[in-house]
Amino acid sequence: MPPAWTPPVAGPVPERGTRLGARAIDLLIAGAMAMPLVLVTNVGHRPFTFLALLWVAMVAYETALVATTGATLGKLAVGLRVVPLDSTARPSAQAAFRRAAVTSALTLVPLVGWGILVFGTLADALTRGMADRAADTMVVPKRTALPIRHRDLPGYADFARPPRLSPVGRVGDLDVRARARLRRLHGVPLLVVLVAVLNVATFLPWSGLTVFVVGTAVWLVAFVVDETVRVARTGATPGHELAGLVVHSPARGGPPSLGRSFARALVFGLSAYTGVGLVLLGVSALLIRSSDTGRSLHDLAGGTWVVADPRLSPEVQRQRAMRMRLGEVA
Amino acid sequence: MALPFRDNLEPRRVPWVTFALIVVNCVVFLLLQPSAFQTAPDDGEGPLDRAEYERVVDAETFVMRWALVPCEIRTGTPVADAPEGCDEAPTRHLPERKSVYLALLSSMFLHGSIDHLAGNLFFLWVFGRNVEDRLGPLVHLAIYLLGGLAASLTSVFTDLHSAVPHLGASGAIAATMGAYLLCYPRARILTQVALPIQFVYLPAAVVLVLYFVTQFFIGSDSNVAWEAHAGGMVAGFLLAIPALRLPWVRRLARPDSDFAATAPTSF
Repeated sequence: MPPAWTPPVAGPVPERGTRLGARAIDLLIAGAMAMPLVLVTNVGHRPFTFLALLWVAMVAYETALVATTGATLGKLAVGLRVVPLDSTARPSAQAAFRRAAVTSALTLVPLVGWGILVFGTLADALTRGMADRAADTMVVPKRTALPIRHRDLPGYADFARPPRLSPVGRVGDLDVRARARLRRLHGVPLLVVLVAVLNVATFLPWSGLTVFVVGTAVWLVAFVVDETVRVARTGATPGHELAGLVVHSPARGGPPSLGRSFARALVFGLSAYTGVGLVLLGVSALLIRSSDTGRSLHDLAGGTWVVADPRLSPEVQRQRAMRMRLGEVA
Repeated sequence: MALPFRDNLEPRRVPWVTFALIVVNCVVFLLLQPSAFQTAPDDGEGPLDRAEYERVVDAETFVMRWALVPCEIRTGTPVADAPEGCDEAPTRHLPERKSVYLALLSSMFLHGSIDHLAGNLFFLWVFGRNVEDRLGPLVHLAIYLLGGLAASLTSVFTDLHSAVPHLGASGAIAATMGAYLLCYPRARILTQVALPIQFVYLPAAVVLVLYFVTQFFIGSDSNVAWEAHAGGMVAGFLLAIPALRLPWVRRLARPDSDFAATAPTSF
């Protein structure tokens, strides 16, 4: 029986639409700042000088406003403010600068930068994007009680997005599982060495297709063997362990059997590493994010669930997940 | 191929020298280098008009004046003065005056394109912050400049007769990477690897040794001065050995807990 989940005491995080509205207003202001710069720089011959000067202007605007009033004009207009974590004061000039530098740089990179800005705001449980992470700040409704402590962040995350509870425990969230995957090779020296060797092989004078096909096949075999054995033996990969997650098989009441673990590893390997399987990986991501069970295609193949380690208390489960989200684990 | 994105160590101090080097490189490229480095002159089918032609001349003359030319270092004489044993210069737009040895320094702050600049400064950002955090700002600056110098000299010695100009901060940044390898071999670097395509944290030692080894596979027909990268990296590594023994640098060491790869027992 999994431990009962108790709702944390925490305040609201801003609506995602409101965040985007504030950003749209600030974009208009940035556009207005660009006009005079067009006149004083030779945009045709020196486009990057123009962009750099615009970046400086945007950073100056945002730094000055956030450090003195706690918000940009866009945020003021929609009733939001920027607050530093663990403090009741306004953001310091240094924090405001860090925030502004990241936001402005992303604003000036069409498509990729805008995608990161919007995705960060929409996907993060606390609506904290890259700029907030760089400056250790958070955007909250104007009347939120301060301070917001680091240790309370899991509560805010659960308030914004209530956890999904399964018969076998709290379901692992997409962002936590994705970050666990980034740490898949911790303490797995053989796979690390294999990655290095394969990447040296890309420089060999063979056709690119040959290197890709052979290299991917070699990697798939090694990865599937490693993943199968680890998950069947301990119910977790190194990334799962860091995130406080386990791969649970309800049929066995613990780690999946070797056969099911193999099926799971094979489907994940084909999805993640073959290029053509990336569509499957996208479907898996959608399933983890949107379904009540949070089970990906490889979970369905293996008859498994990825849930919080039932040996941990609910608070430790939450803190582990948040540490992973904040990049504070390895 | 492996492209590093970030490491898992948050610097404990503001890396002022890293910031300053980034700013200086940007200012030089954006404000001091001729505009042709930002937008290539229209090289359509017809001949260039006078204004565009002058932009080309301006850029070529600028490069030959401030970039490192190996045979100039060997002879101590500018290519414009036709020193003995030099290959033919790649352009006939040569500067009237040139301080040959100053180019060892000035070439470190020049870049051929916005991609070149962005790539180099991204590497400097990823590795420079924590090298500075560990060694201190002045020692980091010294390693950057001396390592860059060693990288330039490596380029010179691998082709003593070449009149092709060399420019870019990559040799100096490779020195910073060499120092990082010595300081933080156990750090973890979020890396995009090419085969299999994935983002994954890898030990810094693996990422940096991989970078070093793959330099020797870069073809000589590419525009990459891989010798400078390798030479700079070795120089940075060797310079960091005595630097780490300096009394004030020893006091900047991080606690072992910063490198823990497992979650603490409490959380």
